[in-house]
Amino acid sequence: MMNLRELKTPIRIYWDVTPTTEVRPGYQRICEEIVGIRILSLNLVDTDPSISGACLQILERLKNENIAVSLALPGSAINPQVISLLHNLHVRALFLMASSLDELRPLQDIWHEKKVLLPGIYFEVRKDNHKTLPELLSFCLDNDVPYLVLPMQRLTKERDCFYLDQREREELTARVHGIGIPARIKLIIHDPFLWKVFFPSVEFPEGGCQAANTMLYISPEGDVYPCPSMPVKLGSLMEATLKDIIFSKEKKELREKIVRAPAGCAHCAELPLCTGGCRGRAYAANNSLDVPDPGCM
Amino acid sequence: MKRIQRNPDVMWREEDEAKAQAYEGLEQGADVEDMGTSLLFSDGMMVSLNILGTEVWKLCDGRSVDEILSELILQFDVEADVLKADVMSFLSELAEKGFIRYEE
Repeated sequence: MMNLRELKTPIRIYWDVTPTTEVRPGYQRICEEIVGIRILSLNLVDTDPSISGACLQILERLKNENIAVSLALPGSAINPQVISLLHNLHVRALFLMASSLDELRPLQDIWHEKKVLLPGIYFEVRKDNHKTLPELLSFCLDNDVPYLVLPMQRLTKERDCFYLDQREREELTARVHGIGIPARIKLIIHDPFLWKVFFPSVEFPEGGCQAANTMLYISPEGDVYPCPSMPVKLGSLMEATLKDIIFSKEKKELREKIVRAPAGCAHCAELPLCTGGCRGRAYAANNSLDVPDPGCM
Repeated sequence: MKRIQRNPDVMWREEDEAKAQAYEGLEQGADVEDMGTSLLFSDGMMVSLNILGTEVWKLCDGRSVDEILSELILQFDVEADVLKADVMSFLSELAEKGFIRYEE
């Protein structure tokens, strides 16, 4: 097997479907493009309190395609009927969005009913909830939750980024270490420094920053970004095709900058391990790709 | 006899341009071992495979190891023993990652 490398076209797209008004030229065309480009993994987020029509339209179009579709929904949208519907629409992974344990505790029955599509938990980590991560992990293990996703921060509009300082990381690492992480739960962690909290001795699986390489992000308005955390708009699906954006000069030039390590990390001994950390967060915080990720400080 | 099946949760695709370049290199006698021609993706983990790896992967459709080897020996100009060692080592790596399953 070989190392990761630069791709002509991405293999995964993160698409926040809501909240929005209707995207023109429409979900159908975007789905056709996603199929045409041979995307392997589509990660949808739908914040509608009940599953949105837009989301159902996308799932219906893609249900027989060779694309692993995952979907994150709020707890209010998840019930046995919806789970069954999503299973029939060939959704590979369903995630329940939450930002506190209090939201999850009343929903425990979902995991005890052993449905065909058992939801994972999609937990947006913030300054005010990061200390509950060990309890969240225990909750997942106690309830046989199959996945715990700590998603990428959405920083394309809101630039108030979250990161842990060294003391916070050390405290969390010690508390998580006390719990242990069995193989039966899959943890999907996009923040390289948060990854180290859970897996201090395991290399970050994504390698370096994958923005505008293996991944792209589509905002609810149809704008395309390198990743959900990097506020550099590559184009709009209202005005261009996804393929045009992928092969654009702007995207190519941005990727060339991302591949180069940040100048501010040049003399850091950790650089080969972290490869500059989250480049989107660094950009969101400083408007520059040449500064270190603030999460590294 | 154990049969080898790709894990259906692993998504994959061949990279047409890279594949064409690798085969061109192979025909010209170049070393193409490090040239990726396909990608496998599962649970956030991506790996790229070279020509031989890709062909092995495509043959993991319920065939036995012997059947895979018989097919590959027709495609690649390599000693049978060397091929077998390479393929066995690659298959154990795939199994370790959960990308393939052995079925009776």
